Amino acid sequence: MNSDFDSILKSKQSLRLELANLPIDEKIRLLEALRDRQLAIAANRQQISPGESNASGLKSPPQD
Amino acid sequence: MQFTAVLKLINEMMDAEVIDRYAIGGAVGATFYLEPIATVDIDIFVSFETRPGQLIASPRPIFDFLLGKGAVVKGEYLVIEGWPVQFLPPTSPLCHEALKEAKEMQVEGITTWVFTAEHLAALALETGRAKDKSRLVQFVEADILDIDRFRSIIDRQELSSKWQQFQRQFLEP
Repeated sequence: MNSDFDSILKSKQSLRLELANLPIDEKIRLLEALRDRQLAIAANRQQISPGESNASGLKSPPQD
Repeated sequence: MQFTAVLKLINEMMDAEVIDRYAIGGAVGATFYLEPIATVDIDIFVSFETRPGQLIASPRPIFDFLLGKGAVVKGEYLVIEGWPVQFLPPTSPLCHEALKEAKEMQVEGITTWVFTAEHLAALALETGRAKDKSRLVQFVEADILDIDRFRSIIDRQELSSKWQQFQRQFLEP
C-alpha cells in the first residue's frame, strides 16, 4: 500500500466519523435522501428489466 | 421530515395501548450511532401480546390501527408516510433483551426508542450475514461501543466464541 492510498483511506475514515458525529436530525435527513435515491435507482432498474422485483414489491437493490 | 411523522404515529399507537413497547433496530437504528446507512425500510421491534384464548401472538391490532390511519400494505411492509415499515417480534433472547433495554432518544423533539449500540452490535454478530458483519466492523472502527457492556451481553447470550471467531477473521491484522 503506498502513502497516497493510505491518505485516501484516512480521509474516508475521517469523513465517516464526521458523518457519524452529525446530530441525529441531520443524519435522518441524509437517510431519507439516500432512501429516495435508492428507490429512484430501483425504479429505473425495474423499467430496464420489467418483471424482476423482490417479494415486497419494492424493487429495492440489495441492502438493509 | 417523513421519518418523524412515522414516529408520531407509532407513539400514538403506543399511547392507544395497541403496543406496549417498541424499539428501532436495523440500519435505521444503527444510523443513530454510525454514519447514515442506506436503507429503504424501518425495522420496528415490538412485543406482540397474546390475547385471551390465543396461543400465537398476532400483529393484527397493529395493522388495524395503522391501516385506519392511512398506512398501506405493500408486501411484508406497512407503508407509513412513504416509509416502508416492518414490525418484527423479538426472535431471540438477545433481541428480547435489546427491546427491554432500548434507549430513549429524541428526533426533532419526538421521543423514540432505539436499540443500544452494544445490542445492535451483538445482534449483528448473532445474525451474521455479510451486511451484519460489515456493520459490526463499523461499530468497532467507530470506537463507540462500551466494550465492557458489549462483552457482558455476548457472554450472557453465549456469543463469545462467535466474537472470537469474528475478531480473528476481521479485526486481527
